[in-house]
Amino acid sequence: MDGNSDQVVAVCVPQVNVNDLEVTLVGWRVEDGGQAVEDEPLYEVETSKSVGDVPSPASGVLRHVAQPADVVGVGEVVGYVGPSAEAIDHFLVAQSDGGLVVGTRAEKPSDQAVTEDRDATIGAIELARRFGIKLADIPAVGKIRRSDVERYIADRGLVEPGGVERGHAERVSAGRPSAGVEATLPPAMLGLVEEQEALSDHQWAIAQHLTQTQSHLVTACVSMDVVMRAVVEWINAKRQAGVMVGPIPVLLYAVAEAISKTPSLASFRMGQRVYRYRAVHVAYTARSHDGRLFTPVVRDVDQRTLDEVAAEVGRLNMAVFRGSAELADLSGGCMTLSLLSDQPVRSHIGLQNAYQSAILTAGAIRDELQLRDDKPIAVPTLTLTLAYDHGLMDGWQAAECLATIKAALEAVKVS
Amino acid sequence: MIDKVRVCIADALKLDASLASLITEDTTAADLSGWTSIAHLSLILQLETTFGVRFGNDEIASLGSVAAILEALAQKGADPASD
Repeated sequence: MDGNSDQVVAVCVPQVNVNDLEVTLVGWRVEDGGQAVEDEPLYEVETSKSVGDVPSPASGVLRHVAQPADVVGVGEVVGYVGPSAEAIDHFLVAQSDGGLVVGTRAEKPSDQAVTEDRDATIGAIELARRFGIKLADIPAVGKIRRSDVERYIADRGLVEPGGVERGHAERVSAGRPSAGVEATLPPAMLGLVEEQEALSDHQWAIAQHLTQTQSHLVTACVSMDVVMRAVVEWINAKRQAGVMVGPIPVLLYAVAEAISKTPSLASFRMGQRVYRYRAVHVAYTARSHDGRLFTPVVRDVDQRTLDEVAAEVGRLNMAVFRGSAELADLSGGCMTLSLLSDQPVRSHIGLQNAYQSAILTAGAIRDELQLRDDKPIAVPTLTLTLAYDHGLMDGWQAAECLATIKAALEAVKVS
Repeated sequence: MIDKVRVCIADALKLDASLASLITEDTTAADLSGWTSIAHLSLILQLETTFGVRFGNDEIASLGSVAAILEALAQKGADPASD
């Protein structure tokens, strides 16, 4: 079989950008029926932020499902790779007979699901149920996607039972198929408010993303104060030497240590199933020059020295600030760090990103007075807050994670 | 060239004129509390616009001092006599 996969593998869209639930398939790097090679570029996608290649999950014959310009959801199948075209045909026949997809080796769990007699994504099923639409009535080739349901709704001007206005259908037909369903303002409110400019696509993507993510989590928080004297000394020593650093690299470094002791931090839950990331890639929040929020990812934090982490953070910060971050810079984070270090913020609570269970947040480093030998001294202090999925770990475990991070931060050595 | 660098730093860090005038070749990020990692990004864009150069994302973290900025600008062919 010349290195081909011995099973049919679904090519699923990975979470390439935490703020996007859907991406656009720009094009295939391998033609339909051509030979895909594991880890080699297979197709190109465009997110709200960037364009980039996605590698093939396996080697073998490729069967296209999605076509260029298709908008596809994260986790959706865009193609199949198998030992032969015939094997893929047999696989698809078996699947259409009611079996679920087997042998999928996508990086992320697929949202695919089978209901009634049609194969559909979970987003499509959810939307169809809300509008009382039978999946069998929706015209679609292959798996039914949310966009198919939205098109069906828009074409018929359907209104969601229970009070979703026609404006939704109009919005869908106006070319924003990913806009989703919006709440309707109660009539009593109409005299009190006036409509303002709509959210930008970037803001809307973030709002949708976080709304969907939070519905899967049972979020709880725990906070802890950390003495940042060692970190401040490290930052100052670097800056004296003309190296521009902030607290993010040290925090990432400490987070990696906590993940090594409590792998649940790098895991997430989908219902009863638990998944753990294979590598310690940690995301953090950063802003572009025009104020958009991004989450660049430092890869293999646990394999790098602190200076190497700092150098990578510097590179990513500038790439994000310029708006030139690439797909690979923004994908694959197992948890997220969010700092408001330039604001007079003591603490804040973050919202976990998709396929993550934890987010660590902090405000600014502040001076707190402590007594030493009966004399007040200023102690640089930072309050860390860990938001976690209580379905995955409890408060005691979360506090242990914070204690590990605190110990790592207080033990930083000036290199 | 240092005068233009001084203006860039003052703009990016929002320094008043009296503080800006104290910036010398020996000034580092540690000397100015406003020279934060976020202000540093604005400073880099300001320098690129002012001098018509482009810094690599990899080299930006090492530009945390006036001396390093002047050296990098010189290496990129920015006019040393430019004021």
